[in-house]
Amino acid sequence: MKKKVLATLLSAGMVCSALAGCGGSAGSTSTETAASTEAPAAEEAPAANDLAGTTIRFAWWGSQPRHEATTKVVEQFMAETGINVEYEFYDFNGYFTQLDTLAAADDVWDVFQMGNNWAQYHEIIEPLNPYMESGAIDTTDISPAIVQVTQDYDGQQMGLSLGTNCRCLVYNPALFEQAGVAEPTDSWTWDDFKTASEQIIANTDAQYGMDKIEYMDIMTAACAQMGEGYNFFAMDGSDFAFKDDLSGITKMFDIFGGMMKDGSIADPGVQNEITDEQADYICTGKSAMLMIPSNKFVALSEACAANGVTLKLALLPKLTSSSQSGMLVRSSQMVSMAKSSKNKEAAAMLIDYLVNNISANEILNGERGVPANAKVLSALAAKSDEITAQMYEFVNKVGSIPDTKNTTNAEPAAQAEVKATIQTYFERYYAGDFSTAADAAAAFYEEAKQVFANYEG
Amino acid sequence: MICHCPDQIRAAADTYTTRTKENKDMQNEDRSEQRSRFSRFINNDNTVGYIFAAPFIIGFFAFTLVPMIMSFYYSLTDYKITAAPVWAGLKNYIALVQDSHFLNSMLVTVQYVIIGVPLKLVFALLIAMLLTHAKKLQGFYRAVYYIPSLIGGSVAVALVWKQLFSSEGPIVKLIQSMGVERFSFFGNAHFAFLPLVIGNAWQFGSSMLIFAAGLKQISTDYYEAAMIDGASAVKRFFSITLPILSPIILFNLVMQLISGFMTFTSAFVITKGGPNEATNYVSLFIYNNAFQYHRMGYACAISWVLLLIIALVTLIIFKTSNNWVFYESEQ
Repeated sequence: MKKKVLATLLSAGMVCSALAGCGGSAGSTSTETAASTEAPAAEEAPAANDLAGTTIRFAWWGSQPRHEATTKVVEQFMAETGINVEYEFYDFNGYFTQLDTLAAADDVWDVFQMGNNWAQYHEIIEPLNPYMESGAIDTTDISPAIVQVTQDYDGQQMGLSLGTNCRCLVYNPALFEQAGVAEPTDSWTWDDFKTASEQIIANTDAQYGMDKIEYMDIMTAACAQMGEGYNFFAMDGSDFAFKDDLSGITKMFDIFGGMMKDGSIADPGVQNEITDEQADYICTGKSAMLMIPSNKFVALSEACAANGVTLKLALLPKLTSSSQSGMLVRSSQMVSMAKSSKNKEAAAMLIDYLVNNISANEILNGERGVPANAKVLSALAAKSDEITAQMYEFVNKVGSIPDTKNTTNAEPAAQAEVKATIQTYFERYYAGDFSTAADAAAAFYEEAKQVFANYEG
Repeated sequence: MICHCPDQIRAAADTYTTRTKENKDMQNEDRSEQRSRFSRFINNDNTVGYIFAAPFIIGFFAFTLVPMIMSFYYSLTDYKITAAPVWAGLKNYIALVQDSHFLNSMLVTVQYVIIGVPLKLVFALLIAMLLTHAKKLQGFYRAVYYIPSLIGGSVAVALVWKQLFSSEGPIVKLIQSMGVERFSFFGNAHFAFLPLVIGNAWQFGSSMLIFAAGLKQISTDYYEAAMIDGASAVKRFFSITLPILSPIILFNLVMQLISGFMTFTSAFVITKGGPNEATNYVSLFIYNNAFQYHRMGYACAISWVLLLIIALVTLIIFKTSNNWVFYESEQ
């Protein structure tokens, strides 16, 4: 008897909630018609009700400020749409280990942050093209060039950029002044870079000209600087593209390997000890320069400010004062959708929200790079502080250099192992395994070709 | 088969009725018998054993055996994690033999084992002997020396070790203050392995406890007799302690060899395999291939080769142990 009563009560409850559900959606439809002139508000309301209660998973990598800001944005998204988002965040290496494990189990997060290394994850990424065509993800305010940056070579949209950045050289102008060395200019060469480092070490308290080598970045830059049509990787990631001409690579072995040998760049052990920018010698004035992606400029400047160090941005040095810049504006990272996702509409909403929502991006504040959406950017630029403005201005300046279109953005699947190979050969050169930089470059190329061949097909 | 014979049908029907009748008669008896059969089954020593071992057995199948079989299958495929594995036959094993990085990782691992394991065992035995002689606070000291082993495999300790031996750390500063300029452990391919080996030797606690237990088993009669005959402490150690302890040395040696070959945490956290692959131990090499380069099939093949090598080394040690391990009971 008791059971019957309970069952009746429960079913009554269900009927009530169903009625309430109907009432809710009816209500919102009427608001929609009433407020049809206010387009954005009306668009959000019905979509929210359709998907409210569904649960999606979202993950990203980054550092503490990014975790805090992104968490806030996710909470705001949940409150506005009623979609549940289970979020996870990791450091860079932990993130990709976790992603690999989930990929093997075919259980990847519905929405996830992805780098330019998407080629390795091509199989698990859902192309966004249909969602952009249906308008679920709005790209009207994103310039076609930036949309294109995160497409594969067949035009499949692998994700949408969360921000753009470019490689850059940051330097401590006080050390340059103290050593009586001219600050970097737009026609600075790698040789100038080396001379400046040596003079700064000789004439100031600084220990290093630069403490850490960005192996992949210097190779990419130097090969692109060899001339139009030259690159480290081909534009479509299918091969190397320096046409068997090792002059750019040799120059890098000569400059960076040589500087490591004479101590103006830190030895491999010290480089390995510097795990994040905040721990870099540049923050304490012990090192004069550093290569970083531009979106890290704000956080690095903050870390430096604690020690009274201010930083400036410069273009990367070149092979000769008249060579190509070897730079480009690229997507710093993007949001992608998983092929295995069961709630793709809700996932699309979150992606749209992260890329296009102004209040969300005010919280994120360009920490992932210059916002892709022009309206978001202008809203942020209006409020930005001096350092952030400097970063925006720099990326804008690089974007206006005509030869940046010649520089590759490709990170083929072999990239991770090729990068490790570059580092190994620099360490071998440092240890004295090769008598000349040209020998090191030739030996490196032999092995890199083999590595690349392992990933074909 | 269709039966046309009425006699047969009748006979079959008769049998059926008799059986049902019998069944009804026996029902009660059956039930009690079933119960006793069940209780006999559940109280059986084997059953009890298996039930208590079940957590391990289930864990072994789910987390060891099944993954092992899968990894063997993957080792015969091209498996990029993000896409389904593609059959490749022995390709990975052939590539392995030609891979200089693999050979290098094998070489540095063997170097680590050959230097690290004896160092650790000697240290463990030394401390164990000191502690058996010390009477005051013996238990306290034993616990203190065991602590590093409890926390030794952890990332936290590896991070502390990294700080200690880093370019700004106290040990490097001390060496530099003695006049060696630009010295660094982790920047130099010849020295980078040293902090890792020392770190491993520092975790001697578990071997030490086993040695200490073994030392207690040695009858004092032997020592007294030897002392009466005028044997020196060194003579007593080599002629009494070592031979009687040899089965325990064998056990510790095998255990430490296996864990030595599988060393991972310290290289992963402290050196990342560098510089110049000087600390790129096999486990780390496997990890990098699997999770950094997405060559899971290749990584699985290396794991199997490593398993074979460890098995082979263990086998050799067991086979040769007849020559140097002395069992008291056999004499």
